[in-house]
Amino acid sequence: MKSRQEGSQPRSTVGVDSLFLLAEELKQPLIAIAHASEQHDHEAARLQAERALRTLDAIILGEQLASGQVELDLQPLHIGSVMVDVQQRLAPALKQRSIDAELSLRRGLALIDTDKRVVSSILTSLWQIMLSSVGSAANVTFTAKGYKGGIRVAISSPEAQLDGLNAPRISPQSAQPLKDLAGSGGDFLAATQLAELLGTKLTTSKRSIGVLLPKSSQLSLV
Amino acid sequence: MKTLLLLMPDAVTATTIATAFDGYKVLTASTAGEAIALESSFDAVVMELSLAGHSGFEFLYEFRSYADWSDIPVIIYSRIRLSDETLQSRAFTSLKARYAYQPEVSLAGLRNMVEKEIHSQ
Repeated sequence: MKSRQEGSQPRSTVGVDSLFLLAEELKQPLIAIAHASEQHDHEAARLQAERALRTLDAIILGEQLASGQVELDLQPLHIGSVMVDVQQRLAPALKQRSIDAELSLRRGLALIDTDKRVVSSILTSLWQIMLSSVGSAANVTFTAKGYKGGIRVAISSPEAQLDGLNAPRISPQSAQPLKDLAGSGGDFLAATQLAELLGTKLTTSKRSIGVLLPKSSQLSLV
Repeated sequence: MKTLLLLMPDAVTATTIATAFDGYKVLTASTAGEAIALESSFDAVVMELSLAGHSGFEFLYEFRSYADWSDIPVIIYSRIRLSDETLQSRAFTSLKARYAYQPEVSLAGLRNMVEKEIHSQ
C-alpha cells in the first residue's frame, strides 16, 4: 500500500523556488519601466508594466502559499470591501480603456472566512483576464451574489469571449496555452492556483469569469 | 535645500527615483555599509530592503542606534511585499519606518510620502 506521500506527486522544491525567484527578479525591470514611463508621461507603457507586476504578484503569492513559505490567514471578511479595493486599484487601467465598470453588491451578503490578500489577488487576476477579453469602452459588471454555500463573485461583460477558459484544456507546450485568451494566460493560471489553495475554484462561462468563496463554517454556527 | 539619502542596490532604479526628487540634494548609496559611512546629514532616507551584504533591516537597526539618525524619516520603498503581520509587528514599529510597495506606489506617491514625513518633523 502506497503512503500518501508516495502516491502524490509533489512539485520539486527547486521548481517552486525557481518560479518564485524568477517572478521576483522580473519585478525589477518592470518597476524600472513603470517609473521611466511615469517620468516621461507614457501612461500606456506604465499601465502595461503595472499589469505585469500584478500578475507576478499573484504568481509569487501562489508559490509562497504552495511551498508553505506563507500560510493562509483566514479572517471574517466582507467581500464588498475587497471588491471596492480591487476596482480602485485598477481604476487607471479601466479609465485608460474607457471601461464602464459597474459594481453590484447584493444586500445582506454574509461574512466569509477567508484570506483577504488571496481573494484580492484572485479578483485582480480575474479583472485582468476580463480586460484581455474585451475591447475599449466595454461595459463590465463586477457582482457578488450569495449562493447556498457562500458567495460567488463574478466579472461579466456582454462583449467577453471566455468559454475556452478551462484549466484542463491548458496546453503547457504552447506559447498561447488558452485558446480564447491572447498571451500566456498567466493571470488565469495564477488565479486558478490561488483558488485551489483556498479550497475553491474559478467559474467561467462565455461572458463571465468568477470565483466561489465558501462562507465560514465557524460563522455559520453563530 | 533638503537632502535625501537614497539607498538602492540598483543604479538604474536609484537614478530613476532621484529624478523624481527635483529640488532636493540626493545622496546615493548601494550598500548598507556605504550608507552608514556617509558623514553628511540628510533629511530623509528612501531605501530598498533587498541589499547585498547586510539586509535593509540590519541597516535600519544600526541606523536607528545612532542618536543623530534616530528620528530621521525613513521610507522603505521596496520591491519586496511585506505582510500586514510584519508591518504591525512591534519589531517593525520600533524602527519608525514607513513602507511603500514599489509596484503599487508611483514616484509621485513616493515624493508625497517623503515630503509629508519631512514636514511632520
